[in-house]
Amino acid sequence: MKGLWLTVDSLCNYLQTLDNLITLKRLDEEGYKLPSDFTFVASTWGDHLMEFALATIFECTPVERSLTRKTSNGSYETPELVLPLDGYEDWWRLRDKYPEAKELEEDMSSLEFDCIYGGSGISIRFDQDGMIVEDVSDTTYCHPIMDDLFTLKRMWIESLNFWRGKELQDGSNERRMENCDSEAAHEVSQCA
Amino acid sequence: MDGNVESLENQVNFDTDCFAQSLASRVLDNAEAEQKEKMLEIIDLVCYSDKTLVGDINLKELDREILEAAFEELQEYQSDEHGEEDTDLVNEGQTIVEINRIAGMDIHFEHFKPKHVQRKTRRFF
Repeated sequence: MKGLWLTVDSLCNYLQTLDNLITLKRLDEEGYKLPSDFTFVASTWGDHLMEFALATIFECTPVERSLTRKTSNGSYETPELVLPLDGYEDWWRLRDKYPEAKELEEDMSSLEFDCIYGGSGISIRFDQDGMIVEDVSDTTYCHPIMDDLFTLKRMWIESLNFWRGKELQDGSNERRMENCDSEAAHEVSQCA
Repeated sequence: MDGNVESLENQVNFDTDCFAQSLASRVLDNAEAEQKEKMLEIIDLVCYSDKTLVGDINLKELDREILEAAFEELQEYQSDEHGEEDTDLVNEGQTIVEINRIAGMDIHFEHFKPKHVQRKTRRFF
């Protein structure tokens, strides 16, 4: 039997590995397919599966870019992830057409993504390139926010489907109105 | 006099039933034993095993609650390199401490711990 001498570094790596395992377990429970050649062991501190989890849940490849923030002490750059979601172009068009759709963006952004083990959670916002995930590097562990990520996915799908449906319904109503108008005009012309 | 001895004997009489009950209360029931075993498996996987890939393990067999309990344990573990006086107390009951104790590693660890700074005698003026 072997014994363990745990330093701060080894403890951090084991915690990160456990975080990875719990995250993968959650994804497996939700029915996401995981590649068998994926490494779950963390090699360094901060080596968590956030990007992989986001890519798996939202079925897209996150793109990293840097955001320049200006403060009274000067400007600094922070990394953020852009999720080019399937159907996002539709969403960007629909939110312009229906201003109420923006309220759903606020609802999605207001999810807490709170990491109970310290560190700040991620935050979400929307721009024309996709859903933006901020503060990934400030998030210590991934598994405590998995519930919120699954909720976000459900909210996103429901919101997109609702406003797509609304547009279709409005379109068919408009067509029906146009048909009625043209029929009425035809009858008037016949009477005349 | 005889009466006193008799009453003393009654007092120190070893209560075997009570002792048996006490022993039985310390024995893990099947569910507890299974939980401990799973916890050991997870600690073994994370800290001792050479497995690194998702394909090396069966995620379905891992219990999420026990994974989270193992995470909580390590989260509360005070690193051995600190050598603080209360480290052992804080870590008491941790699965890793129990494994180390079984392996006899706790005796070896004593050599690595930095010597405690001798406390100066407090003077009250």
